[in-house]
Amino acid sequence: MMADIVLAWLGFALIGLSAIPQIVFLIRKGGKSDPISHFMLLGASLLLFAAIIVRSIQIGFPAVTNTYEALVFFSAALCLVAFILRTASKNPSALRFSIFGGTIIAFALIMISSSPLVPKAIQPPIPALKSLWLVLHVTLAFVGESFFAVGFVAAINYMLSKDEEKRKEIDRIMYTTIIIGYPIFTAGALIFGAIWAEAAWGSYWSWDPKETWALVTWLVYTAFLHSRLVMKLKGRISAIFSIVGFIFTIFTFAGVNYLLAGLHSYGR
Amino acid sequence: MKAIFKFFRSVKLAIVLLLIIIVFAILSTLVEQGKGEAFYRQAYQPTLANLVLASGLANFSSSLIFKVPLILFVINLGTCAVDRLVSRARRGAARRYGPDLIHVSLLVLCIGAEVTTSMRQQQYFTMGPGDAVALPGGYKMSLVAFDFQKYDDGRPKAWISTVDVSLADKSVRSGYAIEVNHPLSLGILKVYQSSYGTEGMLHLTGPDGAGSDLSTGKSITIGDTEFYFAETKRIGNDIKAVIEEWKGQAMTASHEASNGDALGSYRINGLLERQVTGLTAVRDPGFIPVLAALIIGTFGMALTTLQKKGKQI
Repeated sequence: MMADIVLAWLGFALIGLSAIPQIVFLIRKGGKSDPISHFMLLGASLLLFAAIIVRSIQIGFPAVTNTYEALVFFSAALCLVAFILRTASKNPSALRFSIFGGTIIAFALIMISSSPLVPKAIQPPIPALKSLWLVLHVTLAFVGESFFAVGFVAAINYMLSKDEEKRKEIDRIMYTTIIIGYPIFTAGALIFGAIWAEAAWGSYWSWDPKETWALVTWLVYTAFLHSRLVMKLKGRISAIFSIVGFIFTIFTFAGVNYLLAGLHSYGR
Repeated sequence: MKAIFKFFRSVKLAIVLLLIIIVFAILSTLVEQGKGEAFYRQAYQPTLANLVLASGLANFSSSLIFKVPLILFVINLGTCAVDRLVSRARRGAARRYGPDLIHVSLLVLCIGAEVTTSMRQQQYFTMGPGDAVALPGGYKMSLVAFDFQKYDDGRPKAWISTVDVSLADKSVRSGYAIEVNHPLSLGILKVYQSSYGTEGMLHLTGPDGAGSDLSTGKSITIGDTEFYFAETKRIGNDIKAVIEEWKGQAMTASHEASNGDALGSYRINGLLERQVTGLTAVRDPGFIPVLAALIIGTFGMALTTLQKKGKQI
């Protein structure tokens, strides 16, 4: 078996194992967060990034140019974001549900990547993909989307929660993750994407379905921030924007490639 | 006047306009963009085809359903930016320029996009080694060599068009390699590697003995028939030219022609095939403001994030 696949499997196993203490502490009364799962997520993230590095060495280019590599990178970024949020948080117990949700999403991404329908052959990129702008475009977009993923789980947590005090904390998590993810996503998905498209095709915007959906996703999060910062709308409305925004994020990443034809069809 | 100003500085208006753009943008991704009317009439039921065509969903970026909310959004954005600056100056509030820079960058971006829409020029052409082409701005570009590199598994690795460029007989670039992601820049004019292929060339002799050439994708009218050279076909070592005969808007025949065959009153006395590179020359004055907008926007976002850092929400 290839080294990168082994590393990805180890990362996958570690994400799965990290869910166990999280579940235990979610069920237990007392509201404390477990002391080890975030380190396991950091370990999983490092293993997955190592898998990407091994592939990158083999193809002589940063390995973020096909669906398998994108899924592994997204999962690694999400585990790392969960670790950073958990470590930086002054109130980790409020983050428990969001981190657990992020873990489930990271686990699901790796599970999808292991599907036989996702080709794993190590292949150097075609000419259009050989650009450092593409690398910045893809990696930053996924890092931004990782924050959106945690914000999405926080939004679901908000909708399910009935305790007003808890809701305030969850609302803060939702806002924090999105306000960090938004500029990273903007730079990656839109700004570097436009610069790459201009260098590759001579047109910085083509109204390709994937571009349009990325713009739509960005507009949803823009509406989220404006409704919150200027109109002071918090809570339920913010949660709805966050949920819709992440559904659009996932559709832009996965759905568009398969359902709508366009320039990004090589991403299949 | 105050009421109009109040209306346009409203964030509620901004959000409504964003939602309108979002809905129509989503709908536009369900419809293939920029095809002719006949395509939509064939692809959809009559009522749906009428709706797609009348609404502008078939050409979303140039339709009223996009442009009207966008123009209103630009006015809204401009008004908000002015209002923010004025009200903050009046109150002597803390200087938080990040959001202002983002708003200004979006305005510059919209201006750049409009300049692109109205002034962008694009020209696609194919060249074989030794060919020369005149580019806008008085440049002359000749193709020195074209190299198509492949990986061991046969997938494309690189298309490299090596060109010389001169302006008023003075060399401006010598041996410049145009590749995908590595265009040739001549000020505002850029030349991109777009495609590659094989091109056929027919040498024709007319009834008066005069010679003329016809390359793939071109046509010649002889009498009342237009002969269109569609493509070349290889059968073993033989090359055949696929010729379509057109009368008005109707194709009347399609056949394979070889060296020595007749095309109306003309005769084919040479059929060659060569590898060509496909290049696209683009002159887009809108990209400069767009790039400026992207830089201002990035700076604005960084500033906003730094100013927000550490603030309890």
